[in-house]
This record gives sequence, C-alpha cells and structure tokens, in this order.
Amino acid sequence: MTVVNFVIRRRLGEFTLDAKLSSERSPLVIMGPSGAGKTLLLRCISGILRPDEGRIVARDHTLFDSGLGIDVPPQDRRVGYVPQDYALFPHLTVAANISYGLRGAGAQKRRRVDEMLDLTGLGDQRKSRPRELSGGQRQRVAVARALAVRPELLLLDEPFAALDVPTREDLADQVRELIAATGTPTIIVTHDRNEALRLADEVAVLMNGRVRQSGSAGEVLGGPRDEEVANFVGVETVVRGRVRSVEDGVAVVEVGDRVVQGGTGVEAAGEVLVCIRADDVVLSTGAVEQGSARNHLAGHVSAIAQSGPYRRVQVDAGFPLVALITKSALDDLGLGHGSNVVASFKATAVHLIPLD
Amino acid sequence: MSVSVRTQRSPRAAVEVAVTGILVLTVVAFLGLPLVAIVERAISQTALLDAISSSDSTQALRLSLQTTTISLILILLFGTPVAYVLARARFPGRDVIDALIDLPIVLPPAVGGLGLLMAFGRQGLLGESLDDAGIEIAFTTTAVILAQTFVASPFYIRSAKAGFDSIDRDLEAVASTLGSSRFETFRRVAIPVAMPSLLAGAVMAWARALGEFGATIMFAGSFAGRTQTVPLAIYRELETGLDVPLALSTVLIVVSFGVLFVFRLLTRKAATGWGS
Repeated sequence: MTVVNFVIRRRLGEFTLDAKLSSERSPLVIMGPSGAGKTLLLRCISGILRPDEGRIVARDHTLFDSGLGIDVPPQDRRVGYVPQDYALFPHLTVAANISYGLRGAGAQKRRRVDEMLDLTGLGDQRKSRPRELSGGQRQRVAVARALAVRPELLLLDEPFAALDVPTREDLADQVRELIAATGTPTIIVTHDRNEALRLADEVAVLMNGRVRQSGSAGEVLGGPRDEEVANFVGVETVVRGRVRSVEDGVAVVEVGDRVVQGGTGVEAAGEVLVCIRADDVVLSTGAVEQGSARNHLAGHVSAIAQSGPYRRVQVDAGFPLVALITKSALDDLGLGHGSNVVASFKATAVHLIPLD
Repeated sequence: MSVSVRTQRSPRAAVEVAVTGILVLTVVAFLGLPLVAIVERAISQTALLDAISSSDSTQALRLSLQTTTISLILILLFGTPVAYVLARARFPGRDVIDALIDLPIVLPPAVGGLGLLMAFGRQGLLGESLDDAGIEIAFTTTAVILAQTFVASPFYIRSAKAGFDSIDRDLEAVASTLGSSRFETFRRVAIPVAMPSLLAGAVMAWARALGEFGATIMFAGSFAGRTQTVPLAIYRELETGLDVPLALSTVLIVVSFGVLFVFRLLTRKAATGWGS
C-alpha cells in the first residue's frame, strides 16, 4: 500500500517547494536542513496549506489533485499533524486535549482516552494542563491526541527538536513503539541524521524544496547521490579523486598524492567524489596492527573539536580527513595539534560518487 | 553611563527624587481630587442614601443597568465574529473596515449621536422606511442602546481582535486536522484561548456604555424612565440641586473604579495567557 505519493508545487514568498515522492514504507523520514521546505510540505499534505498545483495521495486516497479539482479539507483528510511546538490546547487538560478530536458517546470517548493515556504512560497527568508538563510529556500528549482519532497518516514535524539530547533518544524509541503499536503510517520530518537512523524505514532528503534522494536509511546515509546530500547527511569527508582502476569491484582511487581503496559506487575509471564517514575512521599512533582495513594513511592532526560526547579530529592525510573518536581515545593516544597519526578505514567505508 | 551602588545619595540625586515626587503627586492630586471631592461631599450629606433611593435615581440606575446589559450582549454577539474575521481573513478593504471600527473611539460622541439621528431619525436616511414599517427609534430606549453600542463596541472589538491575533495559528491548524470545521475551531479553540482578552474588552466596553452621554442625548434625548440613563440624570438633576447628582456620581465612580480594577487583573491574565 502507498503510504504517500505526492507531486507538490507551492510558492511561499521567494521560496518554491517543488517536491515529488512516492513511498510504500513507514516510518518515512524526510530529512533536510532548515529552510528546505519540510514544514511547508507537511502543511500541504495535512491540508492546512493548499499547493499551487500537484497531487497528493495518502493510503490510496486522493487528498488533492489540482488537475481534477480535488481538495479535501483538513478536517476530512484523516491526516494527523503534530507541529514542532506541539500546539497543545492550553485551556484543556491532558485528557481533554487527547479527546478533542473524538466523536461519539461519552463513555466511548473516555475509553479511547484511557487507552491513549495507557499507551503513552501519561495516566498520572490526565488532569494536568499543558503548561504543567515537561517537554517530553507535551510531545507524547500531542502524539496521543493525533493518534486518538485513528488517522490514516501521521505527520510529525521535528518531533524531538525541542527536547534535551538524553530525553530525545528515549522518546524517539517510545514514539517508534507508539507508531508501531497503532500501526499508523507516519512521516517524520527532521534535520537530524541520528534521528533519521533511529526512526526511519525509508529516508528522503529534501533540500531547497526538492526531494534529492530517497531510499532505505542505509542507502541514503551510506550512499549519498551528490556532494550536497553527502555533506548534509553527515559524511564529513568529501574530496575529489580519480579512479585509476577497478579490480574485483574494488576501486583504486588517487586522492592527491595518496591512494585509497574504495568499495561502492563506481564501475569504471574516471573522476569521482570520495566520501568517508567520520565514524568509520580509526586513528592510531605507531605501528598499525594487521587487520582487515585496506586503507592506512599517515598524516598529522590539524584540528580537534567537540561534537556531543565525541571529538572530531581532522587529520591532514594528504587531504583533509575527519575522524570521530571518544574523549578517552583522544587522551589515551595523547593526540594534540600536530601529532602524527595513522588513519585507517575499510574499503567498504568509502563511498564514491561519479562526477560528470 | 555607569551604574554604581551608593550608600549615600548625592545632592543631585536627592533633587531628582524630589522633583519626580512632586510631579507624581501633582498628577495624582489633579486626577484624584475631583473624585475625592464628590465622594466627600456625597458622604457628608446626611441624605445620601435617600438621594440614591429616590425614584429619580433608581429609575436612572435601573435604565442604565438594563440598557448597558443589552448593549453589551449586542456587542458580544456581533463583535466577536467580526473581530475574528478581522484577525484572520485577508480581503481588500480590510484596513478601511479596521479604521472604521476604531473611529467611534476618537470621534466626539455628539457626532456619533448626530450621525445616528441622521441615519435612523424620522428625517434620516432610513427614517421613511422605518416609519412605513411602524418602527420608531429616535428618542426611545432603543436609541439609548444603539448609541451605547455605537460608542462602546470598538473597545471590545479592538481587544478581541488583539486576543485572536495572538493565538498560535498552529492550534487552529491542529484542530482542523482533528476534524473541526472552521466554526467548531472558533468555538472550541479560538474563543476559550482568547477568553482573557474577550473579557477585558467586554469590561471596557460595558464601562464605556455606562458612561455614555453625548451620543445618547443627541439621539435619544433625556426622558426620565425611557432614555434618561445615569449620566443624563446627573446633568438634568443639577437644575434641582446637588443631592442626586452627587449620589449618582458616587455610584458611577465606585462602579467604574471596580471595573477598571477587574480590567487590570484580566489584562494581566491576557498578557500571561494560559502559560506556555
């Protein structure tokens, strides 16, 4: 079944959203930097904003078709929408927020509210007002409110952006479970690669109003289509190289005066972009142990920066190469600015994007 | 400019404090003295209660209460949707309508009264049609209500529009995705969320209607029991003595002060909203 299938054109001031995507998997994570048009896209799908032209199909129901003159109003779309700030009704209790969209007899509504409170673990907060809740609780109320009416499609806009990092990862798991428990097809919008990895069955990258690439999380994050997508999805090292030969599917690539062996992406010689994720690079000092990694490049540390709990170490290895290591690894190796190191990575960690 | 903590005030600072103090006291005295004078004179009258309970006074008080209540209901009924539309809809001429609605705030009430007379009076624009339908408005209690509504509604619409403007638009968007029609969203989300602003506006509009004089006397005249509200009675009774005017004025001062006090509490609530 189609989760979503859309072609949307919508101008907003100077910005134009011109996005096209079809997905059969859920959760679908739409990743993009801020200003890419992610919120605009969700607003079009939910019916809050009307596209200038295009077609939106969710779960085999046509919600919008400019050609056929179809524009189902948001209240009839059965598309749940949770905006980034959650938009809880400030004058209603948690229970009343959840029951807002429910129709029918009182007892029936109460049962559904109890179900949602159970599912989200918010039973103790049922009589609280939104302002009395923590950020994580608000987020769960907002999701529960949207799911209570059994939508055919759920849209979450940066669901974890307003939360602290530790809560964020817990909640991402909880939300994933909630979605799975209710079996609701879901589109999640985020700018965060880790969130995408944690939540996504399918990833689409939206940049500048266009869907640039889509596929499984592994495909997109490990095999970005071009340099911009590579930079955005967090492939820290992107350098130009030249494939000298391909032997048994493994390419031998010249990067400056160095040679790198790379696994994926090309079949023939030519100019390429060499992409290496920082988490795939191992640093060592002194003799390199015998191992399966095909690439060992000697160089020196040119910069060290903090990145969450980790350190981003930039190594000048003939070209700038970034490694992500722990603080203790940095201390154990005694690395500082100018230290000599060997950077190692497997051939499979190298993704090649053919140029021209 | 540097800020330093001083244990002793410099002579210059002392002068500044003294000048500021004098200015504040002068303003307070100027605004407060007339009110105190009325209340003081009214209380020192042995006949204050008699004056309040005299038939002239009770008649005026009852009429004021009745007319301002009906005016307020009209203002809420018509003003709330208008304020919402002005806060939400984008249409050509919106700014003109916006300005038109504010106009009675700055217009002399007498001009408003004259305008009402020219529109609804016997010789007015609609006079003949109303006459044919057997409807008489000018110089009736209905005219009092129309005059009050004309003068007081902008105070409510202003405040209500500001309240609707400040609502997070995502609340309404989410309500619609949860199945609410526009009207249901208006009723179940917009009105309750904007309630502090609506109440504050209603209080101000009611107080303005209560004090209405100029438009009423032009359009409704001053007939005891029919169109003579409290402010008009104060003016009329001045001819026969100070007792009734002083007593009625005291009532208005006390009520107005109470109303403004409530208004302050409500606007503070509106400013803090429902908490974020």
